[in-house]
Amino acid sequence: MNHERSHDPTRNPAEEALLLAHDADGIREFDNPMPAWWTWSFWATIAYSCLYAMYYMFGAGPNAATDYDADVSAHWQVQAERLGELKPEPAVIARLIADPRMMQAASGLFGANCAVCHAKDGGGLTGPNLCDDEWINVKTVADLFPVISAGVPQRGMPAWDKRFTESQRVLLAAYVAHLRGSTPSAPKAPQGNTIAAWTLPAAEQTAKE
Amino acid sequence: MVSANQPGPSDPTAAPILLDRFSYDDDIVRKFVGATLLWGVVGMLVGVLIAFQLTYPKANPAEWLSFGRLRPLHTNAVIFAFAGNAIFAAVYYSSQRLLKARMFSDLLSRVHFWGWQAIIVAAAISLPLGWTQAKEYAELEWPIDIAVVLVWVVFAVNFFGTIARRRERHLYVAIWFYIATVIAIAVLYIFNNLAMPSGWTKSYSIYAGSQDAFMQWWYGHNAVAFFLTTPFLGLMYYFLPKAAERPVFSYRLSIVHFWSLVFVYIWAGPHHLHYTAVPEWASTLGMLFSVMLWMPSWGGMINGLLTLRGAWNRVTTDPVLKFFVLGITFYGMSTFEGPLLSVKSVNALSHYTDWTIAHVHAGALGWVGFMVFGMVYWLAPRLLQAPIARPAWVNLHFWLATIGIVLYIVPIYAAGLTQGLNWRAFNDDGVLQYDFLSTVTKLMPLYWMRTIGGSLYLVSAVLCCVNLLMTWRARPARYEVPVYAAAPLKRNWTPDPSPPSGLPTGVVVDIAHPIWRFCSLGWHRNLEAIPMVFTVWVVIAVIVATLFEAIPMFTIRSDIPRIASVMPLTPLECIGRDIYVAEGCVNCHSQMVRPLVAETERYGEYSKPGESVFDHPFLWGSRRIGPDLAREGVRNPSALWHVRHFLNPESTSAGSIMPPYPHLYEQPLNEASAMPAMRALQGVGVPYREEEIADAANHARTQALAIERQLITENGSAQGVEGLRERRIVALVAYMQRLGTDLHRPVAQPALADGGKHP
Repeated sequence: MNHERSHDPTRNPAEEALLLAHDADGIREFDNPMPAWWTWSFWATIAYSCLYAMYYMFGAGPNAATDYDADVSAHWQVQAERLGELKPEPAVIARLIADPRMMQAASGLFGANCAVCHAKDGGGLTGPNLCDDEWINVKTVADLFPVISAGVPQRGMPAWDKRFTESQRVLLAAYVAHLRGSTPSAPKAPQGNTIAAWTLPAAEQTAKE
Repeated sequence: MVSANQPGPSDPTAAPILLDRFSYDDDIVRKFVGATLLWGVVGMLVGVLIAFQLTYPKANPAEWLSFGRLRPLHTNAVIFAFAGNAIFAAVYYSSQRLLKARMFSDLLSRVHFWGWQAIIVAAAISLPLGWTQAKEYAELEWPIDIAVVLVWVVFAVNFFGTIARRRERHLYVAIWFYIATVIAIAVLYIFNNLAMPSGWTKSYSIYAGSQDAFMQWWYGHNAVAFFLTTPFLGLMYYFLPKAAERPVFSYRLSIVHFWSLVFVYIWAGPHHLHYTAVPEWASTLGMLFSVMLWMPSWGGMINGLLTLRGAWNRVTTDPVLKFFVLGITFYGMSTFEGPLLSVKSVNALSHYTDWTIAHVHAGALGWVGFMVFGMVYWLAPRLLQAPIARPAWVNLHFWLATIGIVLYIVPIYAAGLTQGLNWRAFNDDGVLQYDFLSTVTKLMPLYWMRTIGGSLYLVSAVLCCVNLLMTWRARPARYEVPVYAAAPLKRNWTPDPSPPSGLPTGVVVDIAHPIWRFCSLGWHRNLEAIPMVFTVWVVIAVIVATLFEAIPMFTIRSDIPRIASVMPLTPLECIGRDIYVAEGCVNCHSQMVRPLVAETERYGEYSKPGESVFDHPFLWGSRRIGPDLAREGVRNPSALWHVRHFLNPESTSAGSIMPPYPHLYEQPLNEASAMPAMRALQGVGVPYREEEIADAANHARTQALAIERQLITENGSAQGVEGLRERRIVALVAYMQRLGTDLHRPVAQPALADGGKHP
């Protein structure tokens, strides 16, 4: 092994002077100083932590709850700007159905929340088929919004009035109205009573493709 | 190779005074190494199986082989069986030599070994049976916990007894890390596992909700610290300089990084609970101490890598050094990533995702695994007194395992980022862009790659086992047991005088001199000679840091505001919750909506501390392989949906990777089983009244009947759902329907008094 030592370029003769006298089962230790970058980085993390604590724990810094409140209002603002203030009225629903961009937005809401029981294309799973002419709790297009809002607890449909704003629920009602008449990939057998076609303001209805 | 760097038996004629003659107990080390390899392969095999189950859910063939029950078996096996036995092998081999003393008691060594293996077997049986406390890495039920504590005490007595009988005055840095391990694990394990039994196989944590979460992650984080870090640093400080035949880089760095590590680590636990329903000061402290932990952790990496200066030319040829170098590199990577993940804004993205899984596997496969295998290959020729049977295979093992790690972690980092970014993605209209299921199905190619990477690592470990088995077969008929000689410690030892201050006298203020002396660390050499005092300081470091966080956590009542409408579960829901715990649902589903817009949009109102005050144990979870369930009762109260979903998840959710639970549709519901559960919960502070417990079975039957009626209504007919009121599934459905509904229930309508019909 000794010849190896003399040829090793990474071995520093000056350092050998730092070898401490003691050994442990043959293991020796150098008395090298700690690397300066290590020491200073350690101090830097301590300084950062003190400053962070002063601002966020004891100072005026925001916390998770205030951050959330700010983010939520910003988020609602985006939605309100994009969707507008929507009221549960047949005219509004007719306008939404005619607007492909709105239906696109609604399909995201429907897919994330309703599809679990009604299937992504509205064909029904444990919940009823929304594409056919048979409905359980709905007789006219005006019934969609209250059913979505209050749910049908006895049949396992949740109330969505705490989860969604009024505008979102109107949008969902329009989306559900729009699903009727489409052809789902795996339609569930009809449930409920056959109802008449939606009565929507005529001008907008013609706009529906 | 065998005796090149081992101290040979001392020459007694050279000794000036009376010498003790002694030998080391290497038989116990051989046992622990064998157990390490055996359980390592078992633990990794289970890991590969559960990785496969995530890609192919049909590979959940029986209730006791489903993902939720096997995942804790995997984590417990690799942590406590693989890493645990390796720690004991390292401690028993190196402590004897560093202390120049045989282990305190051969009998205690054997009790320790066989006791630990019995615990592992008990874990391997009880976890698949669904006997679990549902707290990560603390799943084992209370009788096994007691056994763990007893065996740990045996280990501690044996270890400290050896220190007491040492023939080397000063404790080497490896021993410091072992002391920290023995002390801290005992404290952590006992206090996190305090639970109220309701029978031999079931117990309820004495802590609830936020406080239980705090205790769990104080434990969980520090299990990583004191089971997967400090003992392996001790291992590194012994085996690396031995294998490299080089002095340790810096003694003073050892001192500073040891004490800063021991003190800082304990505080960092709450970084596992960012944005959850724990007080924000705890979460902030967790983050800041994690940031401050970065350099203390890297101190170990620096001391490891720089010890190799002068030996780098050998790293290319010596496989042991290769394993160590890569292991230490992974340690450096993981201990940088840890502080990074603890930063709140990063954690908001990474938490609940597979990023965490990639992080722990870089640590477990890279750091722990490679340090273990490096040690094993260094020990094997010495312990078995035969050269390694197939030296080329060691190199093959190294490369297979390295490729395996890369193939494991790279796809899983990608999966974690995909989840994190997809879950928070909104489209231009401010609507969530991806439904949850689509963020699962798109991960499948990555999960397949991970399974392949994990399999490669497993194969490499098997290769190691075969190699060592062949080496073992070539062992001598009788192991040579060298006899060593060393002088006993002198009784009247006096500390070295503290070196004088190096500052000029008269020029600086007087107080500067003791500060200079403190910073010069001369006093530490004396501390190393008094193990009792050294240990007391370790205890103080661990306890003080703990109490600073735990006392406010348990005393500041305003941190957990009560919510009047939050009530204890009904008897049937209680049974359902026990099923949820036993099936290991918490391994894939969180119950914690964080105050982040993308989460409240997806799951509903964020979770409040007051909502889980009756949650023994807390079930907030740490992953979302499936969606969050904190508001499941609000989001999806349909009984029929759940009944179909648990029987065949794909029937309601195409592409779901959740296992089916057909046994819950066959096993009869034991309504009376709610009574011992409620009694135990009452014992830990859940306000059940005596008459409620007495009437539990009756109440459960009523609620089960109501759910069956709802099923028939939803189904439109009794076909396929009739009779489920007498099956265990109905209890799980009741629990699902309850989740998250308390927050907005009118206060006048208590949960237990409404005949089980809510929401």
